[in-house]
Amino acid sequence: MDKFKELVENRHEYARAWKRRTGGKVLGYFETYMPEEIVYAAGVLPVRILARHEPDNLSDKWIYASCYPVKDMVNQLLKGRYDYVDGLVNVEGCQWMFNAFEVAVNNRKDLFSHYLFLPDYTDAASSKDVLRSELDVYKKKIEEWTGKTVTDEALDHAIGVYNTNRRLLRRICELRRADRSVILGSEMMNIAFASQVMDKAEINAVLEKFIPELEDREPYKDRIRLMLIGSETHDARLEELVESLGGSVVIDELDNGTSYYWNDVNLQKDRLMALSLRYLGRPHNPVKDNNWRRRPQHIFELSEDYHIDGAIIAKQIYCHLHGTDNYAVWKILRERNIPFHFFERDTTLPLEETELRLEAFMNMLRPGLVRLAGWHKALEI
Amino acid sequence: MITAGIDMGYESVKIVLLKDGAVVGRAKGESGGAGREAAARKAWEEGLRNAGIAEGDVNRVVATGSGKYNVEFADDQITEGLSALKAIRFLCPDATAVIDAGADETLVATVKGERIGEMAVNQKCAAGLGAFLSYMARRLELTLDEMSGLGRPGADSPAVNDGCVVFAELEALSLLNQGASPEEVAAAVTEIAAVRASSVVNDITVPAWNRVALVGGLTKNTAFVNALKVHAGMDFVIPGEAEYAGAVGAALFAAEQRK
Amino acid sequence: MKGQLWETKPLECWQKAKELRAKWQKSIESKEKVVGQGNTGFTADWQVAFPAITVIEDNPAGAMIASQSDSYARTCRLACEIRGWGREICGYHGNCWGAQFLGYQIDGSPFPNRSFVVPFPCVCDSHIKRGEQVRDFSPVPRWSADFTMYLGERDPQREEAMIEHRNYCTLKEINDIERIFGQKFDDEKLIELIRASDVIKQYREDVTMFMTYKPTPLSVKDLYSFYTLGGLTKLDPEETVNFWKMLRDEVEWRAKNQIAAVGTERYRWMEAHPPSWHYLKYYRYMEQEYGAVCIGSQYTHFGSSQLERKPDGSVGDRDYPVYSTQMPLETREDEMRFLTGPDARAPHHFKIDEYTRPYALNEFADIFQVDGALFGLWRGGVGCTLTRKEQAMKLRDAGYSVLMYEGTQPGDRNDLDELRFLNQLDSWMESQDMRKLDK
Repeated sequence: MDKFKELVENRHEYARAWKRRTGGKVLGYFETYMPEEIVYAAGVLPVRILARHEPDNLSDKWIYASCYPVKDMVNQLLKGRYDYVDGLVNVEGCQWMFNAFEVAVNNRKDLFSHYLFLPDYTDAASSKDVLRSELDVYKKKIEEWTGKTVTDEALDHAIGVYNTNRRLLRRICELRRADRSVILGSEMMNIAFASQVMDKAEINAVLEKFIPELEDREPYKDRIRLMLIGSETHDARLEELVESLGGSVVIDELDNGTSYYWNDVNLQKDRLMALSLRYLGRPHNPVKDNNWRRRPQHIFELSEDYHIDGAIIAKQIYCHLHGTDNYAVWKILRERNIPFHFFERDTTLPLEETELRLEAFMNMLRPGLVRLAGWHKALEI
Repeated sequence: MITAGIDMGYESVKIVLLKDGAVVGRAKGESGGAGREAAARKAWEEGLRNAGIAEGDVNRVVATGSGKYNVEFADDQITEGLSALKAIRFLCPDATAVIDAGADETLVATVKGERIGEMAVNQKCAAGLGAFLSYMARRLELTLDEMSGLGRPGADSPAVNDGCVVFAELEALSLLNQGASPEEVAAAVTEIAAVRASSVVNDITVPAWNRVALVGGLTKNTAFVNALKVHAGMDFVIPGEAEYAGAVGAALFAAEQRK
Repeated sequence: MKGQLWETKPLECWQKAKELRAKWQKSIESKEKVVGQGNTGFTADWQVAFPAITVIEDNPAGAMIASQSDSYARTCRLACEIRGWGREICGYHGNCWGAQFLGYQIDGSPFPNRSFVVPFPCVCDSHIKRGEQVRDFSPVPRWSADFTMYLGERDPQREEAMIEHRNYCTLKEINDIERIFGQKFDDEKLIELIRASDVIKQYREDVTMFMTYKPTPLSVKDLYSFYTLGGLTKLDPEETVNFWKMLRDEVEWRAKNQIAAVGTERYRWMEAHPPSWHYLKYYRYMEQEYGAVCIGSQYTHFGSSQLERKPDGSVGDRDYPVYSTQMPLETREDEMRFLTGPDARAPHHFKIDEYTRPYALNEFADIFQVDGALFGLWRGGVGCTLTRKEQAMKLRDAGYSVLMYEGTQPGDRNDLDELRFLNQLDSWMESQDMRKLDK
């Protein structure tokens, strides 16, 4: 098992050990729009609630027809897998995530909780102001909860640590632009997950050490270059499956993938405004890509930069947002003649069936690659 | 007074004849899909024969189950919740709740005196139902007895999706292709059926689990019952006539109506 | 009538309601108008001040398609599905925007393409996305809006920025529409409606209040024939006032004389959301078979306001912070401020009420004297279904019997198994010792 996958698998032990070591509080969060810098500046460890697939006989009591990752987040929370968190926070985002948050909070009234409004209309002139105001409210609540003042210095430090993490992740991601990359999609995804469940300074240290090792690696042989688009997933099984078939996800456009680390906070004197602009300016998921369309164009740009051979669009069943966004995404991919394969999934992948469809898709791409390639592609696979 | 109850389920039809508060005859047959009326008649005649009673001596017939309106000779029909309640007051008077696990429905009801306190039924999903297990048994070429005799899967045993029977089936078949034995796959499938059924148990808001009676066709599947005990976190009483409980309840209701 | 307990008679204002509805239909068919997609307020709404602009909402359009033709509705949804939409997408939107993709309406006439779009700010993922479907289809102007939400106690200070944001958004929409379409926004007309809105609201509140009476003078099935008049079905302010006065007076007379909507009323039940518009039969089934009448839901009554039990035990309108309809309205911004209201969370909104008050429906159940609650669980209705199970638990805690039935969405008949649903109703009623009236 690769190092990062192991870090993700051991995240509960890690968080418990972190608490013992630091005496600090842990805050579970549901949406990747959560402004972690404020929390981190108060000495709190933000931890993304991740779904796993465990037999679930608890969530149905509380929610109906939710997407499966969210159902399982509820299942995990109700089963006590996150019994170490001291608080829960949600940022306005998708409704299922909101529902999971609300159920969790109603079940654990003893925990600190906060709901942060982040406009769906991200690019109105007033959007930055309303979010800044919300960040201010949030900061005060965190201060009240922890008994610590979040000073400008602490915020600057946190922003620095977070920007470093984003830069390190992008640096690794950039290596995937090479014709023969030293890293595959599953490992990259696990690095992103690990960054969402660990103290950023600690994962940064791991990454600083890891990057030189990575750069010295023997590149993988040529693989079919795929992009992963769609609803977020909480493990890298799909990427692993693609790899077992001779491909690699060289770039993703997932909420908890590249969108999580694609842009930095640009410092300004008004730190909260800087944060507001960062979260409103990040690559958006369908719920926030809500006025002038940026998402399809962003997908197209990534596809160009990472010179993909095709795209996989995997939508979680009951994800209404990606379900309606497909129209715009398919349109732009078709306009640019980028082959893509769409399918619906739930938390677990029916392995054989998914393998069959992906293999067929990749076989469809192969002749084109031979024709295009000439130089070095495909035949070695 | 002689009354009869007919439980026309998705897979089987059950008949019970009651004379002065005692079961005097019963019969069971396949419910026959589109030919339910004929199936009901056939089982009915067999039940009468078994009890040694002439049709004309039966004072009242009440039907229940999903095919209750297909029993053309029934005088009345009652819904499955009510028949389960009536049956359990008779078969297991100290039960505080009843779980009826059948081919097409998982029903959980709490008992409040002579009334239903709260009732929960499975969602429109086949994953926790007997019909799914029967179907998978056929797919895996196992008999129902073989399914019943399975052990619980271990921690490293193969698992299948519990959210959707279609995905579950696909996963089950790919497990087979990867070399898992039909028994291992069947155990995984039984496990998820129990997970889904226990989810219905969890739907009850005001628990009354002091003494829970389990009735319905799935009581015959020991592997399922054992798994359900684990996932629901409770023990069950399986009363005599558990498989015929719906019909018993309907016959009791018929007797009450005649009083 | 078997089991009759109360006197009953048909409503007299049916005819007027039909006339008004026909008039509205004619008004939106006028080709000279600019047709936009947006949401329409129940009482005061800005679009009334654009005489040459019609704003259509996709919800009623989609619901009508589902009711009128199952096969056309399926064709519409298939048109969406082949363009990538999931099958669980809200039926209202699947039907309405499927028709857009197809390019023709149910009668074969061309689909009225929207010239602009203002999405519905709502705590529902489907509603949030509905503006994009038009914008993705063709490059029409689009404005966004936000539903400002948070959980916990009200914090007016926190809401200041939210209110400013919302005012800004609406003001920008209106100014841009004026500029782009060369339309004059008639501020005086909006002010006239704002001034009249408390009269309309009061009439609606009275109707709601009379429905708490036993027997109820109006069932929700009746109310659904009227409740869009002046709201979704935009009428002249004066006409709206007159109609609601007529309805209120008739309902008051019925309530005071115990003229029941359902002569056999012996069981009262509530809902929480729109019904399956294509399958309203279940209301009649419950009335005819069990003498069980539905008095509506927080959704049905949210055009008036929500009721509350006062400390002295009486029932009255819930106290929200509201602006007086007579407040000075000197600038357009003042008008927008009125429309946004002083409370950024719009607590009278049925859904927000459920989010912010876990026991919201228990109070409703108590006030309307219901015996049980029937809730739809919609696979394709994300906003509708949120918190539904939790609200049911709270009602059960309080001793109410609750039945939940499954379907795709009120505008999509796909997953609603009608026979299973009726069987469930029987089962539910029997579990409460209610048998059919003829048994």
